Amino acid sequence: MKEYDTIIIGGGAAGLTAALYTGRKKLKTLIVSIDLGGQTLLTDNIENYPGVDSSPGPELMAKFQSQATKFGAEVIMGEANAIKKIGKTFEVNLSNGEKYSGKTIIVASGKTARKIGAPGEDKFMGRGVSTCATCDAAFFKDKEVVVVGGGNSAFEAAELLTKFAKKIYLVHRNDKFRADEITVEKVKKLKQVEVIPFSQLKEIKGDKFVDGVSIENIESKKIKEVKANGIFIEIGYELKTDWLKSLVKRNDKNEIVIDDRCNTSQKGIFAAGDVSTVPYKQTVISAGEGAKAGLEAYKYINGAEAAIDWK
Amino acid sequence: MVENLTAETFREKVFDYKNEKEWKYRGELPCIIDFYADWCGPCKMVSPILDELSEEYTGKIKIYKINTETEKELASVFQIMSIPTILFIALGKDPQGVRGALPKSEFEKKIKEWLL
Ligand SMILES: Cc1cc2nc3c(=O)[nH]c(=O)nc-3n(C[C@H](O)[C@H](O)[C@H](O)COP(=O)(O)OP(=O)(O)OC[C@H]3O[C@@H](n4cnc5c(N)ncnc54)[C@H](O)[C@@H]3O)c2cc1C
Repeated sequence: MKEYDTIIIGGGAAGLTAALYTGRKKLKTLIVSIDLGGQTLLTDNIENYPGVDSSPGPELMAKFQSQATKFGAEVIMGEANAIKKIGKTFEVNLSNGEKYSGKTIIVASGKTARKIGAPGEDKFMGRGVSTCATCDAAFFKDKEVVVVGGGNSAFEAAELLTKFAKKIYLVHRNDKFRADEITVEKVKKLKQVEVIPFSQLKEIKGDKFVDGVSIENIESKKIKEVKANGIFIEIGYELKTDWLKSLVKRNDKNEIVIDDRCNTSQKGIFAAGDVSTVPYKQTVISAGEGAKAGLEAYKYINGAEAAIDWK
Repeated sequence: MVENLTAETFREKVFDYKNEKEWKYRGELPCIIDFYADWCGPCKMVSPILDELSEEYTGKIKIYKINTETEKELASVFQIMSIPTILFIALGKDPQGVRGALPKSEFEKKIKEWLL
């Protein structure tokens, strides 16, 4: 098993900044992440990250990434699904079966796009199922599509899709929409859009690509079959920390409880950014927290606080 | 240098889908093809990495890009429904595709495992 001084779980603003700091302190660093950039990738324009006047989120995160790896951090794509404490070290297990050993762990797994959990969702990901309407909308010209969700991102996806698709079904669990009222009103008036309230996707069907969905009315349990080639999942973000089990203390929101130095209840495991109890979930805050966690990991390994350098 | 392909240059350098039924790669070096669009955020993460790789692997692999907005025909030949989609084309093998942005280290790993 490959051994590291620190294994960082999550490659968003917090994780990449932690890696920048541990890399500069010459800690052997591994970042394990499902994607690189995290939620900040989703902002078309970030205007409140100091030092960059205004920038598309992905451009900012590309800089985070190259800066983090410049100082030696290794990156592998994967999903961590367990951490085991073995003596003084920790073993991180990935869902693909790989295992890595770390003297310290920094959990910076932020928030994760929520899944609907219907059969076909994983199988057809990228073959009709999409979680990025701005990326993929144009591939559904003259097709019928389904948008799942009731928040701003779902309504914005539906509005964008009217430029391409001929029919858009907007499926939502109830008839209360979290999206801004004016957006809801505007989208409801668009003639290609049909809102299907009190409903959920039961199954996504197809052979190689999506060709239909079963939509269940939550109250009557009646199933409606709809022809569709695209399914856009826009049901927001959730904190997924259950896989950490009782290893670290979490609160009722599933946030990992930390002190003001990113220490969790488990010595040697640190948490940073949106995944932690830190208030205000923002890119700049996650970056700062990641830096702190990196320096604390150094202190844990070397027994002395890191000298702060300005070089 | 990363080269942008059109339907025409694609048929010449990669695969003549109009005349061939079975996959037959026309290039002499293995290649990577990035299907992207200007409006796609994650694609912007991939683009600078490909620029670097094309410098580092000059003479070993070719790197191409296809703008799915202007080259709709190519996007539909490959049934692209999600971008970025990255194809890795080794000599004498079927192409392998990866969906979503990859970090540089993963590109390097796949180049080693699949292409060289
Ligand atoms: C649409 C939108 C717009 C926003 N706009 C702004 C803005 O304008 N300004 C601002 O400051 N903030 C904005 N935010 C908030 C900001 O994006 C977050 O606060 C910030 O991204 C948090 O960074 P993070 O590193 O803590 O977590 P994340 O960005 O969530 O990164 C977490 C990383 O961990 C990975 N991961 C998760 N689970 C695992 C696992 N089990 N194994 C491996 N990897 C895992 C994920 O793939 C991801 O890469 C916005 C958020 C959204 C969704």
